Amino acid sequence: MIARILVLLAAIAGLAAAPAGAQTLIRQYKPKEVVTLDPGTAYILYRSDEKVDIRFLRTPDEADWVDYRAQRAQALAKATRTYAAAMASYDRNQDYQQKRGQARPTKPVEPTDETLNFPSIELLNLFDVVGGRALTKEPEYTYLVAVRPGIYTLYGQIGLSGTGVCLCMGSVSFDAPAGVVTDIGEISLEGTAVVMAGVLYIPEPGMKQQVIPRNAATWLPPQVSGLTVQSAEFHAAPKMPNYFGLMIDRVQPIKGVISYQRDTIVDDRTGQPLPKQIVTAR
Amino acid sequence: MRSRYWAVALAAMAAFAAPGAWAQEAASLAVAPAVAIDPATVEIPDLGFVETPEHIENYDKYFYFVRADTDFATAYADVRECDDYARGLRFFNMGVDVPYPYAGTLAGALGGILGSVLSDAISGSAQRRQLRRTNLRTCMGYKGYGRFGLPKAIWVKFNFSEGNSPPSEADRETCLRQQAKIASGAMPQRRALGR
Repeated sequence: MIARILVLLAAIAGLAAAPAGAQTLIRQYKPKEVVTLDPGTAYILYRSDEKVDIRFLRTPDEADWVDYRAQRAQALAKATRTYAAAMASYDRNQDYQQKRGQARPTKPVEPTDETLNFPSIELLNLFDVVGGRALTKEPEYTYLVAVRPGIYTLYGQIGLSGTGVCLCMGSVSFDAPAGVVTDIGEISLEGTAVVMAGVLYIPEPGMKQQVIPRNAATWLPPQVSGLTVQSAEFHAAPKMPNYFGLMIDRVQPIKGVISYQRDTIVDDRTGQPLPKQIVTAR
Repeated sequence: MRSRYWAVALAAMAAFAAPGAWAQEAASLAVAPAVAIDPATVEIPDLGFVETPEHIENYDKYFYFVRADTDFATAYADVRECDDYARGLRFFNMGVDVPYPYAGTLAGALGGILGSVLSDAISGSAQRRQLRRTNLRTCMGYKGYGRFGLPKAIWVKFNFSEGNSPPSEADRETCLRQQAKIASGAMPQRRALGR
């Protein structure tokens, strides 16, 4: 228990030196806001059957990687300097404590690129849509965000009480280009971990989560009328790590987009398994 | 800016839930071990037992996986992948949600983290174990493995739960190799449980 608290405090201390990246989420629109499209900004619209926080990961581009590697190198250099100081202290204290019959101190571990405690690039390129800040509530919850253009993957639902789900074993990606509203249809995340009467309820496994692409009958909120709105073109996404320690699952198959052979993710456009089944960081 | 604070705060939470999670993540979801493991070197317990009603009652907690026509290397990659999904699971606030006006602030997020440390120690361990079991069932189920019940006394010989005390990496590795050998071994004569 004490060790876990110390790790937490170290993590919190690390927040001050947390790496910075270009802002992914620019704004989330409220009901009375007037929406005008900036030619350099992407916009994502979706509907949800529940007011829950939903997380998207942005696929890092080359500029993100350049920035990330530079920050990671800086962090490693700093950790190496810290290690040198810790080793000097360790060497001094070892003799002193041996003479006093005390236990030997723990030897510091030299940091390497493989063991450096530094966020994955994906953790610096994600954003959350706040479920309580819907663009519309009637006839359904809709959400509209302005983001950096790029390719996004639906990661899942996240909540602070251990609720939610990571679509780690199958999800969809889509391109959100600049200057238009990309409509990804409806996200339905049933069957996720929820808190009921103060107790975390974990449902039986079941693949109940869905992404329902927009069709001609899909209702559009009035805030985007007159704007350029286009349907998202979905692609099957590789599996993702359970970064946030959530319940895991996958989206239901979508004809022409994603299907499964056991746990193998199939690009349903071609009928072939994705060549890269699993995201590996860095 | 607010989203960055959230990302960093939540990344810190992930680090707390699984110290070294970022370090392990480079090796997570590995498809195959760097060095081939000889299954002949892996000792597994005797899985035979006389089933009782008490055993059946606890099959939701104590189970293992087997799939026909599966070699050891494939099973090992599968149990490693599923263990990666099921380890380092989040603590649970259990009623210590961050008040909504502060939900977007770093201070609010940290308050929620610190408050939940205590509540997790009290009540999060059981749910973390349950969530681990659920994630293992989901992952191995999608991979086509059948699930079979066991008495706890046999289960503990090659499994571990991640409550407040996760196993050492060495112990984890030993168990995963045992699980892989069993998962690629003889199909049990008993009825498989559902996913």
